[in-house]
Amino acid sequence: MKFLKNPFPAMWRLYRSMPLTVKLGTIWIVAIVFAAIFADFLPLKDPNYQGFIMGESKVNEGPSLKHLLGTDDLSRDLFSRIIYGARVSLTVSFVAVVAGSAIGGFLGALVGYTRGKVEAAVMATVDVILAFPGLVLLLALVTFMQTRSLFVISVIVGFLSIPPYTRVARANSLSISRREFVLAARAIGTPRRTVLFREVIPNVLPSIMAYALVAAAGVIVLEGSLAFLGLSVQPPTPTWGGMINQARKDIKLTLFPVLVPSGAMVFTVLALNTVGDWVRKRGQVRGAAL
Amino acid sequence: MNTSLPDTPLLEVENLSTTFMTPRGPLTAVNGVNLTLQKGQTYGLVGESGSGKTVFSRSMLQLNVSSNVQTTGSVKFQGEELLTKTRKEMQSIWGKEISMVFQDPMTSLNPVMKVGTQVIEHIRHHLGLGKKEARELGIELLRSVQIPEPEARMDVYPHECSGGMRQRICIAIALACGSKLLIADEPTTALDVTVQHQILNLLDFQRRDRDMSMVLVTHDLGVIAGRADHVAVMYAGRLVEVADTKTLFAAPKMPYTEALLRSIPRMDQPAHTRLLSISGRPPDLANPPKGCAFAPRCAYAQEQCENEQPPITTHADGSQSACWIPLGTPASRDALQKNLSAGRPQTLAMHNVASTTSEVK
Ligand SMILES: Nc1ncnc2c1ncn2[C@@H]1O[C@H](COP(=O)(O)OP(=O)(O)O)[C@@H](O)[C@H]1O
Ligand SMILES: [Mg+2]
Repeated sequence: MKFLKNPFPAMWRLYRSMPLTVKLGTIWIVAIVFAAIFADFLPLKDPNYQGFIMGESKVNEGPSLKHLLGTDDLSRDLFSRIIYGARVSLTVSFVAVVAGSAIGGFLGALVGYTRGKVEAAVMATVDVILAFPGLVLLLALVTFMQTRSLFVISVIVGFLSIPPYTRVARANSLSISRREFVLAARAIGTPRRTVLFREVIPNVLPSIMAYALVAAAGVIVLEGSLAFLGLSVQPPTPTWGGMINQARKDIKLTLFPVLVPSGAMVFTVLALNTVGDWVRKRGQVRGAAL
Repeated sequence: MNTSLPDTPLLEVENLSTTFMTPRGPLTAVNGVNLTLQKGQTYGLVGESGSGKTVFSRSMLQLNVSSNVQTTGSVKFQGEELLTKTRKEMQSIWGKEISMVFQDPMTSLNPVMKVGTQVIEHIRHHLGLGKKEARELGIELLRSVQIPEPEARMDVYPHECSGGMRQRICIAIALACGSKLLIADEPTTALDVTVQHQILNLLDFQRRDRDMSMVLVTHDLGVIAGRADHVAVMYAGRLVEVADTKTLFAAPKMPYTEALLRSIPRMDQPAHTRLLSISGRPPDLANPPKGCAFAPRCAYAQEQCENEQPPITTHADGSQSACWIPLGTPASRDALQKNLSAGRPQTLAMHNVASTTSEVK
């Protein structure tokens, strides 16, 4: 593959072909993912250090050179908390994408190709799960759990991500399976399994990837809602939703500690949606050309 | 494989019918088709779009995609029944004994896989060769279908190739494993006229070179001329005329065949000659007419044609047709005269064209 041999020019060309908003979105996503992964190695303050104890900082401070985004009601550095909080949001949403596209995507592609009773059973299950409002089901599952660690939350959100991916993958697999090249592959005696893995799945993949970017944004909001209700990963681990909730009580004094985590969430969601949309449109253009 | 007797036909289709269970009721797209293809020969299958040619060629190989399909009858390949074979058993026939070339080369290659990979994987699957040998054989194949710079072509994606190039690649894949029968379903319909001829000549050349037989499906009788030994004309799922190519062109027995012949532009006619377009549409297969399916569009149709299905009959020159009033008989001239004086529009339309081309017949 050309792409693997020399990735940088290819990536640069891809970047150059993006509209401005998509460029900004990509930069935002790359930056926040990078910061979240390497947070421990970046010159960040301890996200749980309360500066007012030693008289170093005040509570609800505005932005300054010392605290780039100010401090919260316990005088903790908001900039650092945003980045550590991103770890939770991004991990949950990453697990959801992986579980959704690997399990849901494969299942959907499989049943869309093989059809029959298995398809009916799988899709009925999917429809039942999707019939519940996502947040309600999530709340129900989470309240059952004793511990609300990052692992537990990720597993639950990951599990709930499977059905929508299954649906998207099946719909695409249905239409791909009817394309002439799949029939042509069958007509030259290609085994069914090979047809599935070589013809159907690679052609379903782009639409799953486009969906994954948009769905990842949804998961971030979902985890945020959970955290806002105090049901996500528990303190002292910072979460965006938890930060919003905590800053809520001082909202009459200062808006800033609410705006910072909200902004982080909004920009991330917006960036994922913009990039996801662009990927989807590009896929359509390419699909039409083929 | 059976060691078949020397006089067993390569392909023998008997009473093949295919019905789709549609929401509007059963739709019989192929209806009681009989066809015999000898080794080394080419069979032309002609009919306008929607007449069931594609369904027929896929039915023979159990390649119909929908689950609501029912195929009856018998298809014997080298004396072996194909319709009762399981999918597993068919897998060693598809692409190895019998290959297909499809209508639209733009969609019949996997868009996300390199041309070479598609060729190589196919060869390796059927012939069990190593990667290197398969690649060499693949390049050889591409060369044999006259693809320039075959080594370079192995590493491109289908969308980087022209339509003609892609069809050559499809043909190379179809030829790869030494099939004895090639079914080409409108292999040139989606291509430019100049490319059409190259592809048809290529198919013809390869067929001879590899001692294969071919079923050449087309909606254009002009494609068949000079390339097929026998022709079967299909209308509304039935074969309405079967003859060797010479006889069919010289003395068509079925008015539909005649109309098809008149709709081909010919070099030996003056440039201003009007071409006949067959008025009306083929019948709705979910609601087939009681009598001959062509009767509503036929210039010769009489009452019997509208009410009774004509059986297939054999004529003195060996051709077969399903028609109550075969062309070239006094009855057919009378029928035409009668329809003309009654002012039957289908007849008038044809007569107008006929009179401007009075020299044709
Ligand atoms: N999967 C299907 N379900 C229902 N009807 C079908 C299906 N496939 C083909 N047909 C019908 O069969 C008839 C013959 O189609 P086809 O064989 O594609 O015609 P041709 O190849 O001669 O143009 C058409 O009327 C079409 O509507
Ligand atoms: Mg067709």
